Amino acid sequence: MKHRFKNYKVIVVAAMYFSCVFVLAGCGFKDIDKRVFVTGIGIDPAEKEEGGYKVTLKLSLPVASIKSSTGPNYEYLVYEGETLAEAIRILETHTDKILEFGHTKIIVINEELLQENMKDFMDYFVRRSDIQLIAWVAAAKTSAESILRVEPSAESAVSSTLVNFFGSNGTESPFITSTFLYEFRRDMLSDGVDAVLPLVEATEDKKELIVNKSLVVKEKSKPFELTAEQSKYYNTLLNGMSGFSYKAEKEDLTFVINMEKTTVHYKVIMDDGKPTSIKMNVKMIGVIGQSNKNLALNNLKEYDKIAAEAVKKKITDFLTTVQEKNLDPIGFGLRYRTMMLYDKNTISEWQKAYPDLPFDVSVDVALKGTGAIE
Amino acid sequence: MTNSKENPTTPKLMVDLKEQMNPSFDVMLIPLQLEDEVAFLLYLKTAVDGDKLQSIIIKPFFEMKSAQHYGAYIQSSPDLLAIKSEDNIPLELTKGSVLIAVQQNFFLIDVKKVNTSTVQQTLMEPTVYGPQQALSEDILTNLNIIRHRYKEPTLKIEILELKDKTHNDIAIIYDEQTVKPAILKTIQKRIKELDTTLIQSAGELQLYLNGKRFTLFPTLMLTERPDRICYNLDAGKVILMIDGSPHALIAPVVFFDFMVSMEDNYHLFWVTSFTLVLRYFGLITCLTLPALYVAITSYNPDIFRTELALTVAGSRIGVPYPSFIEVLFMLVFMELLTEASIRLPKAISATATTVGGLILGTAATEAALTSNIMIIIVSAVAISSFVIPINEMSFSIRFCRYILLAFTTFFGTVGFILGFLGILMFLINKESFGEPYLKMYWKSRRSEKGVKSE
Amino acid sequence: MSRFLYYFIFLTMVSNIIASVPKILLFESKTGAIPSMIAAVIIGTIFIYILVKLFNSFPGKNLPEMLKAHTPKWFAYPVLFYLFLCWFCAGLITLITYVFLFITFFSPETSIVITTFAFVLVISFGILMKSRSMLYMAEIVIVLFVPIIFFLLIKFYANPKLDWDFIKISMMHINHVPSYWAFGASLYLFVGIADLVIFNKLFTKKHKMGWKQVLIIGLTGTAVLFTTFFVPIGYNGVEQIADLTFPWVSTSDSIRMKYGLIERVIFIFILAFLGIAFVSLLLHWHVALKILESIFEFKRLKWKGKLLAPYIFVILFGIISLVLTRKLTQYQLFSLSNYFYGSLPIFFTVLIISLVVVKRRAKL
Repeated sequence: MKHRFKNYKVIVVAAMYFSCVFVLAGCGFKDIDKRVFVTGIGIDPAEKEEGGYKVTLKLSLPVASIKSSTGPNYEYLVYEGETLAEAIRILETHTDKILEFGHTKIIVINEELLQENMKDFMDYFVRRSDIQLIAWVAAAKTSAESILRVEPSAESAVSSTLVNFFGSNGTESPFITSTFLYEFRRDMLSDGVDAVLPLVEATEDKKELIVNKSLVVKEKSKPFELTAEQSKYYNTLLNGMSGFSYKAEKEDLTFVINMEKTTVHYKVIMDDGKPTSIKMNVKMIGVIGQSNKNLALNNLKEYDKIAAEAVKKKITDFLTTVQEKNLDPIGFGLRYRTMMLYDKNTISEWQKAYPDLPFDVSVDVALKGTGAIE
Repeated sequence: MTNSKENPTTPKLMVDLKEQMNPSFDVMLIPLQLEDEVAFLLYLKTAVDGDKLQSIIIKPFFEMKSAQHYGAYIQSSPDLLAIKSEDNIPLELTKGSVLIAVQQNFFLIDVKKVNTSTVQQTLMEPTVYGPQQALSEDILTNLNIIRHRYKEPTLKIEILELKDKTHNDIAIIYDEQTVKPAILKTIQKRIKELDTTLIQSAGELQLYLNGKRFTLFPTLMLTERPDRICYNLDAGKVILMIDGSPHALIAPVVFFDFMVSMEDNYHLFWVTSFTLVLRYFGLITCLTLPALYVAITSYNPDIFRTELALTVAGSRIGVPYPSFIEVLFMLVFMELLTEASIRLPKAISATATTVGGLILGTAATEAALTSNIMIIIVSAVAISSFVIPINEMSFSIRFCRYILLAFTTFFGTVGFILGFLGILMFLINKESFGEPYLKMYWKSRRSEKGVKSE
Repeated sequence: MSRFLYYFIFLTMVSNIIASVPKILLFESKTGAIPSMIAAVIIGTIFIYILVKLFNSFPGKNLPEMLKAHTPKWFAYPVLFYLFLCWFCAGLITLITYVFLFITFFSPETSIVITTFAFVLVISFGILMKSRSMLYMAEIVIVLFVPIIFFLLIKFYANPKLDWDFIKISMMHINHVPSYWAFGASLYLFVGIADLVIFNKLFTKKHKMGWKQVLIIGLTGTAVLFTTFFVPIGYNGVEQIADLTFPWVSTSDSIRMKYGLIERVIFIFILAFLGIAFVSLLLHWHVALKILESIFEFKRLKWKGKLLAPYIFVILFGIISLVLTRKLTQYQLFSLSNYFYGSLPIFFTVLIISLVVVKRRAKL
């Protein structure tokens, strides 16, 4: 009589299975409650020693019951060291749990650090493969630590306010510049374009954060601060951000237009192998948001013209301001480089020519209506 | 009156047979006598149908004019069995035949009493709209059901007898037009080669037909639905039935057969597609979720978005052991619950699930022995494993889950994916009577002729 | 053409992304990668055409059988051994590169041996399977994983952050002499068809190979090569692209799924390509094993009626890969793959010559 299976064999296999599970599990096995998530990294210049860094890590602590917890639960680790790697190594000894950088969503850098040796710490973030390349990079006014430490009262348990500013996660506004880590690295290291970072400020009572300015960063020169208005133009021109609103005035008529869609085309006009001017076409579609007078629908064409004139002036203003500083946040240089076969001298030629290039901006505004009232 | 007429000599064969079968109390050897005409009956009282015996064997004897007429009557009975050899007779007697001796001639008539021919309700594979009747435990009733549902002259039924102690009949049913001859031959050969002492149910037969000792996935399908049987007959498969079992076996089967519910044929296209997608989703969930939990919580907590990771981390606060023990612990309890509710009488099983599922689950999280998320996962796994229409497959998948869990625990996330691919590979390499178990079936199979089967 | 042939071709094409092909190409991005890619697409498609045509003359036979039957031993065995080496290396490079990138990006804490062991364990079981099962496995993995890869591709191309200016700048580097190494690396995309060496045994029908098939293969090759080369540039810029060790993985980390359960595309990318890498490794090593079996037939080594030789070979494969993943540095791996890709033109030549020889001899 053949047995279907011998029971003891099955038991032996099961026993081996369980013992293997217990013995072998261990390499790389670390439970989630033994890890602590670093959600933000802040870098300031060191206070004690020259050339060093002060690193602030923002740790999100898990809460047992999200529904009943009142607010966010954060912990901050701060340490000064000669290099980033060193400081973070030391910080690992400041907590009983393993630091998990996979959830680092934001890297805040003190604006003072954004002129020299940027490659130095950028290298660390990119080389460390567990830090996301889609972390947001932001510049901080006064100090990165203080920005990270702001805990707005509207914040809920498992979300981070600072992160929600960027990438249209929560709020959407053309004033906010969002820059990924890889984007920052790409634009900073490439010739023909300059990186732009959002500038984060805290209110005086350290309760709220304000993000509406930006910083154009270029290696070996002081970062240039774009005002809120300029940031708005930058974001509209580069990313076609919606929500752009603009005030147009003519004689005694004043109205505000809300742009829904913006498309931008630009090219470098060449003559005889040399760049002669930059041509930019902007198309905007929008509605009127506010007005001091009754508006007639049949006059829309006229309003289009008034608005186009005004926007054109502003855009030209913005472009010449950054041009004067020899900065190129839009990337005209890149566009120029795509227009000819590779040559060693292309870049230096462009750099010579750019500061004096005239801008030729044409704006075309198409208003869809006057809103809910005429 | 001669002596012989008063006490007609019992045929020697019958006497011998009776001797052979003593001391069973139910062996009956009775003479029938009317004037000069004599006949003898030998049967087992417990195996035959008394009424039938009375009405078709005994009563006609007294109504006939002569034993010769009676002999002719018996000979034309539809239940007449051929006597192959004398050794065969005791076996037929035990099956419920009666041996009749008329004028030196012996006849075997089948008057077996079957108490199991009632057709049952579908239990294992219930449908909402399909036929509600399943098979019975009597093979003749079952064959009748099939014949009734599949009225094709090409439907062939071969009966073989098992060589074991039950001597049950096995019916091999197939549609001559659609069946693949090679597969039919393999099945016939396997059945003839069976060498076991006792086979009582279709499930058991399936194990022996497998041809391998350790098997994880069924290579024959067990079903109780006549409509499924006909559906598969039409698809060219071979159906096996064994007397005394309310289930039929379908061979060969492929993996996808186990994911089909008969209900699919009775619904609208999009409804069916939706349920099919749902079923595969259930399959994947039930297979991977526990392993995924270990991979996510213990190896790569950075995969999920931060909010989710923090929620998981939060729910695990205070759980005193590593995640894989937590998973194993909860899974085993879940299996116990399932097992208990199958074995328990129906009236109690509801209580068991309530006590086990609700009270235990809540208490375990309250006591911080498991995380809330774990409870959700375990219940999701339990529910989704019931979505698989054929129970056998659901059992196999339940087992695979542990293999995947072990792989993940050893090797982390890479082990999880590799384990999954490994299980896939195992299924692909498997064969059911020469047919590949798992492969993509495209609409036109003609293009596959280019690939030679090894 | 049987759909399985397309699978061989497309699997290898797609799997180039996780091998060292993008690294080598991007390394040469300023010195002639583009012309060599163009050359590779043309020559690779021609190679595929010739090979399919040649194999068409021998339906249902594999190369070792053909060589043994029609050529002298001094010719057959060295050729077979060379082919074995190539296939083994192809598999080995895929394995080690994948393990390296997995360790770097996915679980830096896990030991490299454990990860490799996980691969070796499943692969050993896999390559011992029947050849026919391989085809079905390839098909199922393609059906399961290719939709994910297509989804990722759409994500890569539809993202407004993909800066086409960078891509155009890199295209301006077309005025260079083709580089041999970049050519070899691009030729790797077309090596998949050579799996026919063993799998031809399963194809009893002749494959149709007309201009339609050539066009499909050529266009797909171009598209894949374009994606391999230009998408990382679009995300990471032209100047510093050569610095990245795993350009494609870093690129995949540049995409974010705002509403996804998994926010970082990199994880989906790595796991989807795990399936592709796995099947490509499976096919390569299965071919390698079969060729090795045909060279060394240890008929005496038997246990319970089973030939032991394949098991020994598989264990050897496993040990070699375990040792090498531990010993090799990233630079050594890079140069090993470089030399391997560089030898591909020779590989194709040897294969075609031996097939031609067999064809001539068979007709005698």
